[in-house]
Amino acid sequence: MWHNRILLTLIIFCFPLLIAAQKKVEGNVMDTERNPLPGVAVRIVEAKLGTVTDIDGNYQLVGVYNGAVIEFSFLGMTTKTVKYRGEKVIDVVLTEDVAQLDEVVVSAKTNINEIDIRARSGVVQSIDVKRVEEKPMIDMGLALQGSVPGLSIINTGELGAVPEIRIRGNSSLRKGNATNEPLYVMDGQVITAETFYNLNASDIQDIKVLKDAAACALYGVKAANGVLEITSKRGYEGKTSVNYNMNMGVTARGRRGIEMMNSAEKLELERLIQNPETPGYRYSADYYNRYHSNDPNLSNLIAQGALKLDSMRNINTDWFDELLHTSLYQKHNLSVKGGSSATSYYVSANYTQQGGRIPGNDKERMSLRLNLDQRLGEIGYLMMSVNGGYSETNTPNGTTNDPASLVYDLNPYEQKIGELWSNPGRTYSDLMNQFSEKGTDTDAGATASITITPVSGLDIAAVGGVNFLLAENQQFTPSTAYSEVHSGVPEEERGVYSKSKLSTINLSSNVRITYSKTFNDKHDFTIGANTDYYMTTSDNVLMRGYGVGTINSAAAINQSLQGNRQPYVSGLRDKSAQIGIGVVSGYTYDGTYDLFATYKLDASSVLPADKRWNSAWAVGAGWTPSQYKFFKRQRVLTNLNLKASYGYMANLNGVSISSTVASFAYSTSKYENQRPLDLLSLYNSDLRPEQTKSIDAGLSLEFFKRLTIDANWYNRKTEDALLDVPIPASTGYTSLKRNIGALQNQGVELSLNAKLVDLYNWTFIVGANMAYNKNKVLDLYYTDKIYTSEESIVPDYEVGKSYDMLYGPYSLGINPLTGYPVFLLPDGTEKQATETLKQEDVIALGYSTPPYTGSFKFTLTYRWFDLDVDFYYALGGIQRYNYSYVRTKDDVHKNAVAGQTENMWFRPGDQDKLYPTPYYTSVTAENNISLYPNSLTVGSSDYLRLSLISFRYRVPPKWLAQHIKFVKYANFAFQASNIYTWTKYSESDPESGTLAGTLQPVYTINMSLTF
Amino acid sequence: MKSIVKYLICIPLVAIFCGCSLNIPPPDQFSDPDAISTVSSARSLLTSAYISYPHYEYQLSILGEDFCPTNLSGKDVSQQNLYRWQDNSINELASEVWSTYYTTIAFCDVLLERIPNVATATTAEESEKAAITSEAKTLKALCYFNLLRLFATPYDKNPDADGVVIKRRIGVEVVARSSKSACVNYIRDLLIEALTVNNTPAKNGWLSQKAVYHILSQLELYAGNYQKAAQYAEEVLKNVEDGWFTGANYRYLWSANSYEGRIFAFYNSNPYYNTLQYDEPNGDYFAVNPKIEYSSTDVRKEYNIYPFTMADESRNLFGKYNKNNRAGEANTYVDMMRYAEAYFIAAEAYCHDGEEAIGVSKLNRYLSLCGANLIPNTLSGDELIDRIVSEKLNEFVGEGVNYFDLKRLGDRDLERYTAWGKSTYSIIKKDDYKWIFPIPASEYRYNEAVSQNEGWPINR
Repeated sequence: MWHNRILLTLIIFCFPLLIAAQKKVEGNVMDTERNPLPGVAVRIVEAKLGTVTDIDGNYQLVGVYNGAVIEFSFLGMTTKTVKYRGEKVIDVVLTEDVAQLDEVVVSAKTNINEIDIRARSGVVQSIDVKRVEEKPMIDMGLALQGSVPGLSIINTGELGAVPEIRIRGNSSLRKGNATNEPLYVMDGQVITAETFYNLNASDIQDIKVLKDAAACALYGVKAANGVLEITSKRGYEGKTSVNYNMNMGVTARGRRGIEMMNSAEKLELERLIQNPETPGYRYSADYYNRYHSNDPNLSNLIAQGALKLDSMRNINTDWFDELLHTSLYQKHNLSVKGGSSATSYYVSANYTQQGGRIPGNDKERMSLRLNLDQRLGEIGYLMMSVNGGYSETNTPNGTTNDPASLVYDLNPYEQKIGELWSNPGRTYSDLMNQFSEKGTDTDAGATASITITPVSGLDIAAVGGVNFLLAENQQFTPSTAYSEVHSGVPEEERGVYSKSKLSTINLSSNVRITYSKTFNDKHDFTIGANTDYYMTTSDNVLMRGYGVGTINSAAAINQSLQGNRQPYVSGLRDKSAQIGIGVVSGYTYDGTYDLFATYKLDASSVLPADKRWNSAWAVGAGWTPSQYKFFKRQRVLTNLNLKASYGYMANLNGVSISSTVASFAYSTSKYENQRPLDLLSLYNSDLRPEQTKSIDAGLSLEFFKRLTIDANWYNRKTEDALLDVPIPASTGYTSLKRNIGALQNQGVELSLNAKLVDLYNWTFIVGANMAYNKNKVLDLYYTDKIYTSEESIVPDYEVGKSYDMLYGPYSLGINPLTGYPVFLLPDGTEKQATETLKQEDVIALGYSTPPYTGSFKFTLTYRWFDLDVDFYYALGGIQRYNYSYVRTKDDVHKNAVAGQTENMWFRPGDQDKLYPTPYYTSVTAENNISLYPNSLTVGSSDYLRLSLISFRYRVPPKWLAQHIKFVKYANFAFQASNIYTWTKYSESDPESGTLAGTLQPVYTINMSLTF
Repeated sequence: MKSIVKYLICIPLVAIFCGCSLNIPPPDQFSDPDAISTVSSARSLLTSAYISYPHYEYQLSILGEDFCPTNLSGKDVSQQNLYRWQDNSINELASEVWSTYYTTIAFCDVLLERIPNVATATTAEESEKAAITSEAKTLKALCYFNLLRLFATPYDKNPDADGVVIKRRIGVEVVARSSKSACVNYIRDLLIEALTVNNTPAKNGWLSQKAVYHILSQLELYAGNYQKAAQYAEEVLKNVEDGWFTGANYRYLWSANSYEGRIFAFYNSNPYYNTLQYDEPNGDYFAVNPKIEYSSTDVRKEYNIYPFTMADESRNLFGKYNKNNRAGEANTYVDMMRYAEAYFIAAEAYCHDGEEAIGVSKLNRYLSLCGANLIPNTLSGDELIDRIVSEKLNEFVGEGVNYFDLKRLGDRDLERYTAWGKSTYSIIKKDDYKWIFPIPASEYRYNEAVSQNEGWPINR
C-alpha cells in the first residue's frame, strides 16, 4: 500500500539525521506528581541552544558542554537551573510557582476513574487537543477525525448533521448511533453525545480514548463501545492570566464533484429523448415535423423554434455557484485563570458561528464554563465545575424540500426569474423559502468532586454531577410555500408548524477508594474499589398544528381545525438507572512487569429484576524490557514495552424496558368514548445483554528517544448480539429484538512519531497513523442468514460474511441491443437485466465502511514560526453512486450530467455506453438497476484530505515586554480546515455518499492574546 | 474543616445508597406484571384491538361484482390493476391483509393472557370483565374467520386442506397452517365461549351477544351446517323490530350516530372510502355495477346509489359512505353486521337445506319491507341461490360481502368489465388460482412450516 511506503520513506529519511546528532544530554521533566510536563523550555544559558519537551516530557539537548548551565522553564512553574557535568541523563522535577510552602501536596484528578495502572496494560491513547483546537470547525466531533487510530469519525451530511463516531468499529449488529456510540465522560461525569459535539475545544485539557476492555471495564455495562474521557482545563496557582483567542474567516463551497451540462448540450439531449415537456424537443424541428406536419406555417414555426432555442443556448447559469455560497466563520474565546495556593479558578466564554454551503444552513454555539478548585486543609481537594452551552442549527432541508439538490435539477438555460421547465408551474421563488428547521441544544451541567488523602497512599474520591440537555426542534412550512398553496386545503388551514422538546437529565455519582504502596522500592501495589450510580430521565413532547399562515410560532396555530389538520400533541417520558460496584488491583515490579485485574458488577433498571446484574472484567499484563540495566546500556532502542489484555463486557445500549417486558402506553386515537392503550412493541422476556469478549496486544518502541512506534492488535467478539429481526407476520408484528448471533471485529492500529530535526531554531516532527478494521458475522443462532426486508435478494447478515458489505451483480456494461445492462454471473454465464436476479447471481462489491483509515501530519518550527499540517485518509471502501442526475424520458426536464448524451444508450446498436436506456421498457430491469448496486454503479470511496493547515507566528515575549507591556503573549495564525480532498470518486462526497453533504473548507485568521 | 470533609464524603454516599432502587416504573407507560390489572385498563387495551382492525371492504368490493370501471379508472393504475385481478396487486393486498388481521389477533391474545389478573371489586366490574373477555374472543374469531375465508379454498372442497395459521401464544412460533375444519372448530369454540356472556353494550362500536350469534350464523353457512346457520340467524332476529332497519329508518344505518338498527359497526375516526373518489368535480374511479338495479319504490335506492354526471351522462356512483364523503359528513361507523344479513343467511341456509319455500318467504319479508321487487316462488335450486346472492349484492353493495359469497359458492366465473360495464374486459374462471390469496413472503420467509397456496410462487 502506498501509505506504508510513505512511512518507510520517512523512517529511512530520519536515520542519518538521528545519527548525525552527538554530544548531547537527554532526560525527562515532570511535575511533583510525576506527571510528564510537555512544552518545557530547555536551554543552555549563555548559548543559543535550546529545545522543548515533547508530549511525554522528554527532551534531548545537543551541543552541550561541561560546565554549561541548563535552564528548565515553564509557565506557572519555578524555573530550575542545573550545571552540566557530563551526565548522559538529567531528569528534572519542576515545582509549581507558589508551592514553595512546605506542605503536603495533594494530587487532584478531575477524572477520578483515571487510574495510572489502567494504562500500563490497557489501551489508553491521548488526543492532541492542541491540533483539534487549531482546526477552525464548529463541530467538536468532526474535528477529532484522524487524531487517534481506531477512533473513526464519519461526516454524514450537511453542517450540523450528527457525525458517526465509533471506536474500533460497530460492536453490535444493530446500526446507528444509539447502539454503537462510545460513552462520553467529562471530569468523571457522563455527558450526552450532543453535549460532547458542542464542547469548546479551548476548554479541554485532555481527551483520552479508551479502547479495550482493560481500560473500559471500570465503566461497566455502559462502556462496551469504548470511552472518551474528557478533562477540562483548570486554574493554577499564580497571577491571573487572561486569554483572548479569535478566529475570523470564510467558508467555501467545497467540492463540485459532478459537472452538469451546459445549455447547448442539455437542449440537444432533450431533443434526442423527445419529451414534449422539454424546450429542447418542444421547439425543435423534429417536434414540428412530427406534430405539425400539415401546418401551412411549418417552416415559420421551425424558424421561430430555432430562434427560441438560440436565445436559450446563450443563457448558461451555473447553479452550483448560484445556489451554494461562501459564508463566514468566526470564533471568539475568552478565558481567565489564576488562583492562590488554596483556591484556583478557570473561567471561559466562547462563541462560534459557521455558515453552511446552502443559504439557510448554519450553526452557532456559545458556552460558558467555570471551574473552581479549593484545597481542603492538608488532606483534601474540592473541585467544582459549572458549565452551560447553547447551540443552534438551521437548515432549509426537509423531507420534501432539499435546496441543495436543485444544483443538479435546475437547467443551465433557466434563470431566477420566469417559470421553470425543470419544475413545471413554479418559479425560482417557489423553490426557495419553502421550509425551515431550527434545532437548538441547550445544556447545563454541574459537577463536584472531592479527593482526600488521609494517609499517604490512600485516595478517597467522590464525584457527583448533573448534566441537563434540552433539545428543541422546530419545523415550519409557511402558507405561501408551494406545497401548501397546492395542498387543496382552504387558505385558513395553510401553514404547518411543529415543535418538539426533548429534555434529558443525566445524574451520575461515583465513589472510589484507591490504596497504593511501594515496598522495597520495587514492589508497587495498587488496590481499589468503586461504586457508581447513573440515572437518565428523558421527557419528550411534540406538538404540531396547522393554519399558522406565515407566522413561525405555535401561537399562530388555528385551534379550531378538525380532521387531518387538527392540532396534534404527543409525549413520551422515560427513566432508567444503573448501579455498579467494582474492584481493581494492579502490581508492578521494578517498573518492568505489570499485572492488572478489574471486576465490575452492574445492574440496570431496564432488565427484569431476576436478570438485572451483569458483570464486566478484564485482566492485563505488561512487560517493559527497556527497564533492564543491560538494556539501558544501548542507546538505539530507548524504550520497549509489550502488553496484552483480555476482557469481558456486557452491552445494553439501545434496550428499553418495553423490549423485555410487555409495556403499554395511551395512544392519540379514540374509539367510542375510550382511550386506547397500545402495546408498545413485541417483547422478548428472554433478552440478554450482548456479551463482548476482547483480546488485545500492544507493542511500543522508541528509538534514540526520537522515534516512537506503537502497534496494537485486537480481536473483539460479540456474542448474544442483539438485532431487531423480522418475524413471521402471523405474530402480528414485523420484528422482534432477539439475541441473534455472534460477530467479530478484528483490527490493527499503528502510529509513528518522529522528531526528525531538533535544533535550536528548527524542529521538524512528523507523525502518521493507520487503523484497519475488519468485521464478520461468526454465527446466527436460529438460521444461517437474515433478510431484513421482503424484497432483498441478498441476506443482510450471513454467517462468515462481513456485515457492511455491499452486494450486487457484476455488470458487463450496457447491452447494445436492449439498452439495459448484462450481468456476468459467478458461474460464468450471462444474465440480462430484464430477467429476475437471484441470490446466487450477486457478488460482494466492496465494503461500505472504509476498512483503512488514518492520518499523517507534521509540525515545523522555525524560531517564532510554527506550521502544522494534517492529512486524513480513508481507503478500501466503496459508495454507491446516486445517479439521480442521469435523466430518463420521465425526468429529462431536469438538468443532466455533462457527457450523458455521448454515454447514454438511445437506440439498438449503440456500443460501449455507460447509462441505460432513457425509455422505461422493462419493469424487472428498472428494478434490478434501482434496487441493487452493480459493479459499474459503485465507486471507490478512497480519499485523501488536507484537513488542517495552521501557520502561526508568536510575537517574541521580549519584544512584547519592551513595546506592549500589558500583553504577555501574542500570536497570529492562518488556520484552515478541510482545505482539499483528493479522490477518484466521481460524485460530490466520498465520505457521506450524499450529493449535498461535504465538509466545507474553512479559511481563517487567528489571533491569540494573553494578558 | 474535618467535619466539612466528613459531610462532603457522606452526602454523596448517602445519596447513592438511598436513591438507587432499580425498580423504576416508566412514568407514562404501564409495564407488566401490573399493567393490565383493572377493568378500565383492560377495556383500554381491548379498544386498541378494535382500532387495529383493518378495513378492506373497498378492496374486496373492487375484487367482487360490486363495481364497474369509469372513464377515470386508468388514472389510478394500482386500483385498476386490482380490479383486473393482476397477480402483483392481489399479492400486495394479501400481504397487507395477512399481517393486519394477525395484528388484531395479537392484541386480543395479549389481552386474553392478562385477563385472569384483572381484579374486580363489584358485580358491575365482574360483568364488565366478562364482557371484555367475550368481546376479545369474538373480535379474534372475526379476524380468524376473515383470514380463513381469504387464504383458504372454499370449505366444501376438502375441509382437511390447509386453512390458516392458528397462533397458540404471543410471539414467534414456527407453526404450519391448520386444516380448514380445525380452523372452523377453533373459531366456533371461541364464539361459543363468548356466547355465554349476555353482553348488551349501549353503543354500536362494541361486540354484543347478538354479534356473536351473527358471526356464528356466517360461520355455519360457510362450513355448510345450514340448519345451524338458519338457527343462529333466527336467534339474531329474535326480539328485533323490523322497523329499525327498513323503510324510512334505512337511512340511519349510514348516519354518524350509534343506532339500534345496527348489530355491530366499527367506530371510525379516519377517512373511509375516500380513495374511491378521483376528485370532487370529476367523479370516481369506479361506479356501481350496472347489474345492480333498484325498483322505484325501493327505499335503499336513495342511499346505495349516488347519481352523478360523468362523461356527459348521469351515472350510478356508489352511495352509502361515498355519499357521506361527498356531502362532507363523517363516516363515524363502518357497518360490519346488519340485521338484513340475518334474513339473507337464513334464506340461503333454508334453501340449501331443502326448505326453499321457507327461505323465499323469509327473504321476501325483508324485501317487501324495503319496497323492493319480491323473489318469485317459481325459482328453485341453483337459480334460486343465484337470485339470493344477487339480491344480497343489491343490499350490501360496496360492503365487501359479495366477494366472500362468490368465493364460498365457488361455482361461477367472474366478469371484469370495461368502462361503465359496456363490454367484458376479461373473465376470471371459477377455478382460477387467484381466488385464493397467496401466503405473503413476510410469513413464509420466516416461518418454514407454512405452505403456499396453489399457483402462487414461494421464494424462501
